[in-house]
Amino acid sequence: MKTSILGKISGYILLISISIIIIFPVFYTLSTALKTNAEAQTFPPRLLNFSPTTENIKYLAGNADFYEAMKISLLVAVFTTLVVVFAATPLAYSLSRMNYPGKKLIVLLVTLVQVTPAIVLLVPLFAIVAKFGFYDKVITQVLILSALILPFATWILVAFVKSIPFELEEAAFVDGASRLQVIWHIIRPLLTPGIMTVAIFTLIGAWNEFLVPVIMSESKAKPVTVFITRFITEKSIDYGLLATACSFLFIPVLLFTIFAKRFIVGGLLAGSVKG
Amino acid sequence: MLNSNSSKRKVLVTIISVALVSSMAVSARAAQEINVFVTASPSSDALKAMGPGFTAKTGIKVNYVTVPTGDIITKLLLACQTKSSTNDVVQFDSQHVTALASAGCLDEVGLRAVASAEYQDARIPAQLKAYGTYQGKRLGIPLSTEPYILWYRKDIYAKLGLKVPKTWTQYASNAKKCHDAGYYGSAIPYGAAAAAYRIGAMIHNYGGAFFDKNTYEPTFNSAKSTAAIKMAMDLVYTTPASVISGGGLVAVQAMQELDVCQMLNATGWYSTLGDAKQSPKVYDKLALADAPHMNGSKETFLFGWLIGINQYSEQKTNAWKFLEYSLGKTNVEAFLKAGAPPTGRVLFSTSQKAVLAKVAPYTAVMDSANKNAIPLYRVPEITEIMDVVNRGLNAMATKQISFDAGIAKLNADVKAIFVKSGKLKG
Amino acid sequence: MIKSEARPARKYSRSSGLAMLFSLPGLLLLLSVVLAPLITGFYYSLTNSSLISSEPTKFVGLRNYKSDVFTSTFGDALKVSLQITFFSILTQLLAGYVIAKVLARSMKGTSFFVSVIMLPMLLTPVAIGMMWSLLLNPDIGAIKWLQSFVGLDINFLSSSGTAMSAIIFLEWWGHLPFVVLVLLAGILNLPKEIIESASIDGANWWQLNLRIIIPMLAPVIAVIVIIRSVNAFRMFDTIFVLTSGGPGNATVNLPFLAYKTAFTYFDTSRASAISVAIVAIVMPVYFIFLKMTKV
Repeated sequence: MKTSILGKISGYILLISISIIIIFPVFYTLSTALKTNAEAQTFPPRLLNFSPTTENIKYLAGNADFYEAMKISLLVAVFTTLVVVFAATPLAYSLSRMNYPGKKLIVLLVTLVQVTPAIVLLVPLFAIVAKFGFYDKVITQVLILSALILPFATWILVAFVKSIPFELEEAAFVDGASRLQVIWHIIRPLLTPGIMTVAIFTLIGAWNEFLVPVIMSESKAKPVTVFITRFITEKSIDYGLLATACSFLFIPVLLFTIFAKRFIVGGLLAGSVKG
Repeated sequence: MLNSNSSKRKVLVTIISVALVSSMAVSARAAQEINVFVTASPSSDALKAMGPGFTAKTGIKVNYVTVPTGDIITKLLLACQTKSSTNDVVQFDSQHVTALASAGCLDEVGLRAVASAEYQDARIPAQLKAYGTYQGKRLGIPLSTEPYILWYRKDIYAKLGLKVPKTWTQYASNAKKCHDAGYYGSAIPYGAAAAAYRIGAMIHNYGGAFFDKNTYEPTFNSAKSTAAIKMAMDLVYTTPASVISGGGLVAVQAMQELDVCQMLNATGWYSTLGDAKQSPKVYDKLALADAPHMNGSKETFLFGWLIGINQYSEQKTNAWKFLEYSLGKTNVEAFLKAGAPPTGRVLFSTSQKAVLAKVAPYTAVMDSANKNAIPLYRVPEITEIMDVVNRGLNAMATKQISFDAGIAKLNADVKAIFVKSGKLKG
Repeated sequence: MIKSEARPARKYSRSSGLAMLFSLPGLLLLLSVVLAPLITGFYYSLTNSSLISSEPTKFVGLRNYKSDVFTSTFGDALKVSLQITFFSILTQLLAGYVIAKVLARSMKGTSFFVSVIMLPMLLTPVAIGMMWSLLLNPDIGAIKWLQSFVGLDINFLSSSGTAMSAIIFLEWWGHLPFVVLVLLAGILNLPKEIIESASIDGANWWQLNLRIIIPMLAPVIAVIVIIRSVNAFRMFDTIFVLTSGGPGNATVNLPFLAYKTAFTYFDTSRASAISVAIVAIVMPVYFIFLKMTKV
């Protein structure tokens, strides 16, 4: 069905409008990062006609606490991804290809996690965490976030596993291969895109996480998402520094997705096209 | 996944184990080292400035943990639950006292204060000693003293021929004249996290109260309380939009940026509003006076930071040494010069008084306000009460609920809280 | 929809052990991080524990449920949760459908637009919320300035209706990418012949979309609705940063109510009762999803 010229133009207008709505807050963040706090608070706001300064970037770059926070964010994101991949991949395979006692219960448990808002878990979790001495530690955030992301990762991988034609495995079984050999030589290579997708989603999700770290950390395991709250104090709000810190949160993800876009899109498409 | 390719797997396993172990390792603290838990404020900035001198004198290292104001009480209570010894010195606020005391989180620092020659507890006014006391135990010493008083623009007053209001009726009439001249007449915050504080102070300026001290029956519908709340609502029309949904800080920002004639706020903001760099537009145009009163009442709310010692700290003696050093008689001038609002200590030496006069020219007003200032209600339900009253007053100010229904709801909500805790019958 | 390929268990009974081993890491994680707190939380909800009480913990039965779940406060928060969920999904589906259809045409530059549309999903919700709170500042915010061009001056944070709109808008903004991409995938997978023959037969725009395309997209839309419902219901970060539940209690949703009760009122037992109630409400919805995906 060919689109008319009018159709094409209105299509582009729509896309451009949506793009503006999406880009505007991001642009605002980045431009405010380049303003002094005083200039960030002028009205009417100077969206383009301001004198850029790098003082905010210099301040954060020289701030030991900020480095620590970036380090923590990175550690939590990377380790959560490792844990999720290691836990979700075998789980997804076993859920989609095997039958065993307790399978229904596991599915129930995974579902339970997905419907429970994190806040519901955090109060009793805090008591447990404190009792066993895990408060204010990176490992605590890693394990909690992994558990919260696990269901989503598992469903995505289940979809990927199911898209691998069973005939491939069947043929290998007929040829006498053991289950583990089949997994290693056939499933693993074909599942790599799925694993990459899950890894990326988990990486980004853990990097952006706020609620869990804000409750589970105090000084030693504070990621950047919690760090930015220090710019809103009882005495003042430093718009410039706040925007700069937010930019430091956004930019790595933006750069990362330029490289990893096809996995993100692929993952979502695989998850939805189940039939 | 379970098979070999073992070298890659081994490397991965090693990395993970090292990370796990290192993140689980309990960091050993140097024997002579204390942790000071603070929130960003001029007072804590001054405490940080005192650190190096203290370390030089005693050899005890001082570490600072800074948390956002809204997080103080949660962090302290959670740490207390786990009997954590991480914090030694802790900064907190008036509305936190009951919670911290009920949970047994604080050391009875009053005993140390009384026994200390350096601290000279005798020079702390009785009002401020009571401020840090709950059920007979003194759990906090004053870090700053900040009663709610009247702030006004003396240049606008002069221009419009206004007099400093002694009553709220005069305040309202001043506000109207300002409004008619194109300025904002008032910047009392009505935000859902702040309304109850200053409007609560207004209620006491009128001689009213949230609830009866003895029976716990809510008294928002008493004649005095209702009159105060009505006055607050009647001022909304001439309040900047951001202040209607904001708190004390937003009111100060409005004062800095817009032309606002008057507001009710804490004295401690002087370090922001009186500073040429931070408030270039208004720093030399502001003046302070006693909060307006009605019906012969003299009451207002007393606020200010308290500071104390963690009950589970393992360095209590060193923690006290730090407090003695920063807040004691020897370093009064140094502490003030480091930017701290007055602690409330009565000064005796001329040079000390001179420094105080330079740093806080409003002390006469502050002292007079302090004489009749009362701390926020010391009941265990206070945080819930403040939240409910905050939101109720905010709903009234944003016209979500009518005045009469709003008063009734305030009464009902506070009553429900006392019913839940068993102080009132349902 | 691919149903679970039934395999005769006897053929692979040896690997049941392997399967259970595969599930072990995930299972351990979930048991310790999710099941244990849920059970503990359920226990707390029946006691009088609180972070500040000096009373000994004792069993109080359903008292917390009476005081905090079967009340109008809980009902209001539930209403807010439902409103946010309903309106954000509705607007996402409407906008998402139109955008997905345009993208499906694969005009020049589609790849660029897809990258842009993906943005909100990747950006930190807390940071976005903070930036929006600056933008929505009623005195110096950019939104106030932009509004002045069309003669408006709405203070979004000062009235319940507009504050809810702001929250719904942010929820819409943040999750539009997901809806667009999933719908796009669905549209790309539609059998082109049916659509083409219908349009040749003279179907107009309404008939084509409403009678043919959308019904064929029904499974995809259902997946979107279920996933988005569960997530919109759980929304927290934005409300926490933008409105703190205000003005008044207008934007207090269920997770925020639980947070407030636990960390502002310090009453862990009442917060646990609210939490248990939240799970009880959302569970059935998700079981429907399970039935539909049949693992």
